[in-house]
Amino acid sequence: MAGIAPNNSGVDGAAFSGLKNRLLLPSWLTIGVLLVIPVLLMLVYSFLTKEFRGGVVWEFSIAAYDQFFLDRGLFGDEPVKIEWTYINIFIRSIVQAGLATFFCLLIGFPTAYYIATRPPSTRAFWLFMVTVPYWVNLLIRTVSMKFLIRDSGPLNQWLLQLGVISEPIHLINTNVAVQLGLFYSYLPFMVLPIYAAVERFDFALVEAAHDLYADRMTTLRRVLIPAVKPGIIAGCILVFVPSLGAFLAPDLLGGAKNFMIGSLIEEQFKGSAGNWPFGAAASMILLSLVLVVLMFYARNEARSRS
Amino acid sequence: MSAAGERIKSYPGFGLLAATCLVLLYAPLLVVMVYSFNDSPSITRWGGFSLTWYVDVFTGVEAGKFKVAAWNSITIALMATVASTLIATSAAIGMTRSGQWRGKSASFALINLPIMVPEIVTAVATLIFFSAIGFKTGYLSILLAHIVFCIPFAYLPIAARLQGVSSSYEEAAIDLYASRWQAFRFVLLPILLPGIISGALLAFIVSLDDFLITNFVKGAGVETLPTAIFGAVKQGIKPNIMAISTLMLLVSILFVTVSWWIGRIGEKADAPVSE
Amino acid sequence: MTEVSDIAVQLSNVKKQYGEAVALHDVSLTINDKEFFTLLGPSGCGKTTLLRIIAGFENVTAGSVFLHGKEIASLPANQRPVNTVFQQYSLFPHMSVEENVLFGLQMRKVPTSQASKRAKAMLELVQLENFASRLPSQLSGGQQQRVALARALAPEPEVLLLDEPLSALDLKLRQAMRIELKQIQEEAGITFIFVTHDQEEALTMSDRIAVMSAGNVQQIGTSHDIYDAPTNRFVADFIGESNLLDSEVVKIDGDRVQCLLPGGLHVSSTVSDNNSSIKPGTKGHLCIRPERLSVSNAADTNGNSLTGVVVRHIYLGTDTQLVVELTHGQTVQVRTQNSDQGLRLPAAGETVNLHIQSGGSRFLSA
Repeated sequence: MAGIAPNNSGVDGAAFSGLKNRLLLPSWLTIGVLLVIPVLLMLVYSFLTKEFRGGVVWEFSIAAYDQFFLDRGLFGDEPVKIEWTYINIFIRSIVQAGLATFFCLLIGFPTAYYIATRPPSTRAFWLFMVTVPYWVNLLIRTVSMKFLIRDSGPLNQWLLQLGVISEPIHLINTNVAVQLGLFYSYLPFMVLPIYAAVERFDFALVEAAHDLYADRMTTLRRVLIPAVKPGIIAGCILVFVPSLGAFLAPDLLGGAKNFMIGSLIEEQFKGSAGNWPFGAAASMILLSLVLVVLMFYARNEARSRS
Repeated sequence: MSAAGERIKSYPGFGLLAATCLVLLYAPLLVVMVYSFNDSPSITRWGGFSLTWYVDVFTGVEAGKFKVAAWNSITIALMATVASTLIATSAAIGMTRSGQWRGKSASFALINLPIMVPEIVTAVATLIFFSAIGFKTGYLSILLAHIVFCIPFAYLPIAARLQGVSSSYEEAAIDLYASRWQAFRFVLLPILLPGIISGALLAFIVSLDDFLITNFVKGAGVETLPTAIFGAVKQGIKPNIMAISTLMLLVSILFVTVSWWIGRIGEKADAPVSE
Repeated sequence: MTEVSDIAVQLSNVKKQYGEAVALHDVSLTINDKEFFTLLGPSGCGKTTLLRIIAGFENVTAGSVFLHGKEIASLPANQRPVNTVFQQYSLFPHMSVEENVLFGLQMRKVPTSQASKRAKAMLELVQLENFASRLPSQLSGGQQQRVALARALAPEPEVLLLDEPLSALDLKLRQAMRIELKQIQEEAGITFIFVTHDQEEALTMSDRIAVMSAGNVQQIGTSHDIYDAPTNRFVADFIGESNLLDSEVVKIDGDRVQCLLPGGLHVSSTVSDNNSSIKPGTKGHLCIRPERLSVSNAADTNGNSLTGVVVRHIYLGTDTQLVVELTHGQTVQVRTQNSDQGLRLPAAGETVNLHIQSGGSRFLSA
């Protein structure tokens, strides 16, 4: 009898494997209803007609994408050209995020390496010091940066007093300030994954490389960096993705002239523009960009694992 | 490790860059901290040490606004933490204790979706969702949105800890006549606790920290601390903002220290068995 | 024939599949009450799966499991009166030694006073009564192993399952624990089912052993049976060292067979009892243990001997091992005790005759 259908007894595997679906259901439901459905709805909204005081009219329209990519003149009767305004904002965002990633890597890699090669006692201190800013409110950090680099802020005052400069450096409301803000916001995101990778690295390999006549730089390039590459890539993604959609740094440090995607989108919902379908379309384009980056990452991961 | 071994590991200049990194990370925070004790109402000139602005935070004209905002922030963060930690713990057990199955990586991606989708996109999508279903934006909509993006932050440390805990502990409990609930309550939960606490701390701080999503779904009249600070900063940085910032900074440092300490205890408990 | 009440565990036609992969093909076993029964085999042979099926951690794909005559395949693990000593002990790290031992009793709702009495008795049994309030992390590996044993024994299981419990210990401790385990089993008077890949462990402790490979039981028998009378090539090769020489049956001679070796040599050999299919012409292997070959310089006359050249002479302390290349090219190992002072062992390059001791060879059909 038991030989026929013993599989219904529910004793298989470890203690909780039989409860898999019930254990996962709350997370699936919460994220499914409150994130996946909203994103799909956002896709739908990007194809609807805008209502002037925010919101939408339920009529199919590709006006949002049309407005994003094409310039039909003020009254819509001129020959169609490519509309560069929004594309430029996207390009600027990608460049800013790319630069932020580059600078974070430039400082973050040596820092992570330095921390990982400290003796355990001081290593904990360094790690603690790098972790604290990661936990500090991003808004407060951005506001602090704004305070520091204002034309009449402490940085300019000190530099003037020290005689390094004769008049204040104008940083605020420039692309440089935005870059500084992004770099500062996401630097810990670069350090931590690289640290984790270097910490697992087997330093006997460095000794082996030196034993085989490699010099310091060759060892770094040929042995260490390939080994910690997954950490470097993870760090770059963790800096690039949030930088791309950042709102606070460009808004507080960049001002109106240095718009990035985040501000453009925010403007459509909270600001004066009030064009929901256009905001939804811009969000979809941003999301697609991020998905491309993540897919590239996932493919890379899969390849390095096999 | 021998001196020679240390020498080939180190690269000249890396120490300097690491120090620069710390200076860059801390300089703005320290400057704001120092200026929060400035006696002068001008934020530019130093007028001597004073606690004026801290008193102002609690009793000044804007005190009422910030108190309500702080209360909203804390209650939302607490509730979002409890809900997301429960959901994340359950999900982590479901994921790490179920072997291989079709759709497992999709499930992993779904649970971590909130950290993969850019915050601004989540904000837009959530606002559209609430608007489309006619859900009145306000306190409750903020809470729901916070629960969602806190889930992966709570999930990751819990799942990491679970992966390091052999499932034979639960099996041993079941083998000794415990029900599944008893196996969880008396065996798995105490072992998991450090992971659950760091997950909860992370969720709490992330909720407390959030500006962008909150700003989209808060509706009129409901403020959290970050949205209130942002609104105030838009009118220019005033010294009371620096005092509030310093206070929040201290809260963050307290949290890191606590989570650090708990992590240490967890590590000690896991210390390899001496033969 | 044993009666039903004397049978602790019976498995009939148990199959286990994980998707396409077959872990157990068709296993039938009977384990007697109060027996020390060992499942022995290389890793991946299905022995642990079998143990987990008895414990209730895995379902069978087909077949039934009986515990003292009752079918238990559908009984969840936490209702089976069997307990397990896990490979890594899996002592609850946040509970003291005593709390660990009490756990099963508490789950079974044994009254407190009775439970603590039982826990104390168990700790005395494993000689850890002075360590009751320690945490597992404060104990040595050997002590942890005893706590795991006490914890599993405390609820008075009908059968105790042990999953390679000695594998994490160092050699000296492992050897001491073998004897101790056997003593505890006899004292407690319950059935032990012991899983190991270590044949020495299996041979020293077990009443009976089931040798497993690739999801099948290859042979069941006492230590003696398994070592001296292997029924197939796998068992002969897996247990101890064996010289396996290609051979063919020429003549059946009562309970013995005449075998032909490639070099044209004839050897008389025993054969396993259940090999009724053997007839003249059957091909197989002649299994000879290295210690059942003795070196003699003079040519042997009774026919049961091999000739070859010593290739290697290896001194091993108590023994000396010779590697001898036979005239037809196969090599055999010979082991001789060094206690025999008078005997001069041949050096490499010398030609030797190897005498097969009586009953020292066994024909195994391929």
